[in-house]
Amino acid sequence: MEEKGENGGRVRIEKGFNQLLCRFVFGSTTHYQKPVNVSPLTLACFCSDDVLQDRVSILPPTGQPPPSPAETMPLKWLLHWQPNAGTTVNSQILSEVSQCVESINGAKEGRWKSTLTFYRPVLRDQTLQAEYPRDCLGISLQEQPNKYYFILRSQRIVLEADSTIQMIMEKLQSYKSRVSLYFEGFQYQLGDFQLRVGKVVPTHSENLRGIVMEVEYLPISSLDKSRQIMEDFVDIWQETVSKRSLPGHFMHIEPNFAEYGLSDHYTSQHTAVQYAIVMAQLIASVRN
Amino acid sequence: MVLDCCLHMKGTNTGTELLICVGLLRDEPKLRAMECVVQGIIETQHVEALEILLQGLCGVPKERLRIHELCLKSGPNLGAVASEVRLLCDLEQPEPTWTVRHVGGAMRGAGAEQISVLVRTVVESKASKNVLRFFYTLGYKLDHELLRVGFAFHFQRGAQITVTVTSVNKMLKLHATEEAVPVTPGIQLVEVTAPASSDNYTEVVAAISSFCEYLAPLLHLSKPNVSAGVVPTAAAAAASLMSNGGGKTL
Repeated sequence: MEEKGENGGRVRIEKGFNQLLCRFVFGSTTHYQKPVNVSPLTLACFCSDDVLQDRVSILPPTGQPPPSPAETMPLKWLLHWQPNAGTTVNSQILSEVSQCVESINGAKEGRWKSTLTFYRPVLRDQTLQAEYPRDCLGISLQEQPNKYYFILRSQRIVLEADSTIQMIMEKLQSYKSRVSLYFEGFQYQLGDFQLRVGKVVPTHSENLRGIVMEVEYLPISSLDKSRQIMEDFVDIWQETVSKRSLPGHFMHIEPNFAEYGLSDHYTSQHTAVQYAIVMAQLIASVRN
Repeated sequence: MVLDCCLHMKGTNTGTELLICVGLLRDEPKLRAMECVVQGIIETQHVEALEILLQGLCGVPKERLRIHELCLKSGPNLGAVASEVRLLCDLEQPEPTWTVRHVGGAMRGAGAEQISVLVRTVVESKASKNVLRFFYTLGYKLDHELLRVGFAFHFQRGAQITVTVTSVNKMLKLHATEEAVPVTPGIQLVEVTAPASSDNYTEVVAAISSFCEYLAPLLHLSKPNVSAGVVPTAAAAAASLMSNGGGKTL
C-alpha cells in the first residue's frame, strides 16, 4: 500500500526489516531520501504524526534486508577551487564559499582536518631517482583516525594501513616526509549531504595554497547509482557560487578508480585517491 | 623525541655545584612499542605433549597458525643504511590478512646482558592486500620467504603472553606455500612473546621468565640466536604428559 503526501514523502516497510525513508525538498525540484532502520513501534508513531502524515507513505515490502553499517559508507566527491587565469586563491574566496553554504541552509557542525604528506626516497645515488616513485603521498583522513593511506599515483597504487605504518616508515629511513599540508575547515549538514569546506595550508604556515570542498552523500555507497544526484547537487552548488562572481570555480575530477583496483562501492581508499588527484591539480595550478 | 633534562643547584661548603642530569631520550607522546621474546626448539614428536601442557597452563583454546612471512630488504641504492621489513600474510583467515612488521634493535647494555629475555622494539601495522606490490614499488626486494605452520596460545599471566609453536618451512618455488618443506625436519620452533613498553618491560620480563619455568622439562627457552638445543628430559616429560592426558602439572 502506498500513500503519498503533498511533498511526495514515502515510507517503506519491508517484511522483517523496518525502514523509514523520508523525502524532503531541497531547492525547488530535487528530492532526497534517507533510509533509517526503525522499530515497528517507532514506525507506527511516525505514521500517526500529523506533521509527517504528509511526508510518509507505506510501500509494499521488497524483502531486501537493510545494508549493514559496513556496507553503507557514504560516498563523496572532492572538489577543488580552480582560480581563473592570472588570479590566485585567497582567504576572501574561502569566506565567500563558506557563506554560500550557509546561504543554502547548511548547518555548521564543527571542524575537520585531514593531512597530506609528501615522501621522498633517500637515495645514495641521486642519478637513479627515476627508478623510484616520484610522488609518494601519505594521507591521514578525518573519517579514519586509526588509518593511514599511501598513494603512489604514477603506479596507481593506494595502500590502506593502520596509522602505525607511519612509525614503520620512520624507522625504515628509506623514505622521509618532506612537506605536509593540512586540509582543514568547517563541516556543514545539509539534508542528506555533508559538506566540508576547507583551506589547504602547509603545516607550519598559514599561506593559503588552495580551497577544497568535500560533498558527501550519506544514503548511498555506490558511485554509479549516486552519479546523477551528485551531478545535480554540484550543478546547484556551482550556480549558487557563480552568483558571487568570484574569480574561479569549483572543479571535480573523477579518478579512474578501477585503475587503483577500487570498486563501485565507496571506501576511504577512494577518498585518499581523490585527495592525491586534487593535490596534483593544486600543484599544476600553482605552476601555471 | 624529548630530552629529559633536570637542573639541580647544590650548595656545599666548597661552593655551589651545578648538577645536570640528562634523562633518557624517549619518544613522545607514545611510549615506545617493544616486545619481550624468548625462543626454543622442540622435537616434532613432543609437540603434542607441549600442546597438552600449554592447554593446561593457559586455559584457553589454541589458535591455528599458517603465516606466510616475506622478508623484504631495501635495494642497494635505497636509504642511507639498509633496512628490512617483514610482511606477514595470515593464510588461516577466510580472506588472507596482511601485517607489516618492523623489528628494531634489541635493548643493549649491562642491564640487558643480565636478563634472560630479549627486549626489542617492534612495530606492526595491518595493511591492505596490495602491500607487497607497494613495497616492491618503493624499491624493496624479496630476501626470503617462509611459511610458519602451527598453533598459538594467547593468555594473561602477569603480561599478555603469546606462545607459538610452529614448523618453519621454506618454499622451493616463489610464493608456492602449498609446496613448502620444513627448514629443519623434525624440529619445531617455540616462541614466547609479550608486548611491553619502556615503562613496564621489567614486569613483562619477569612474567615471561616465570612462565618459562613451567616449560623447562620440555624445552629450554632463551634469547633468539642463543640456542641451547633440545632438552634431555623432553622425552620423559612428554611421555608423562601424554600418559596423564594433560591438565596436570609435571
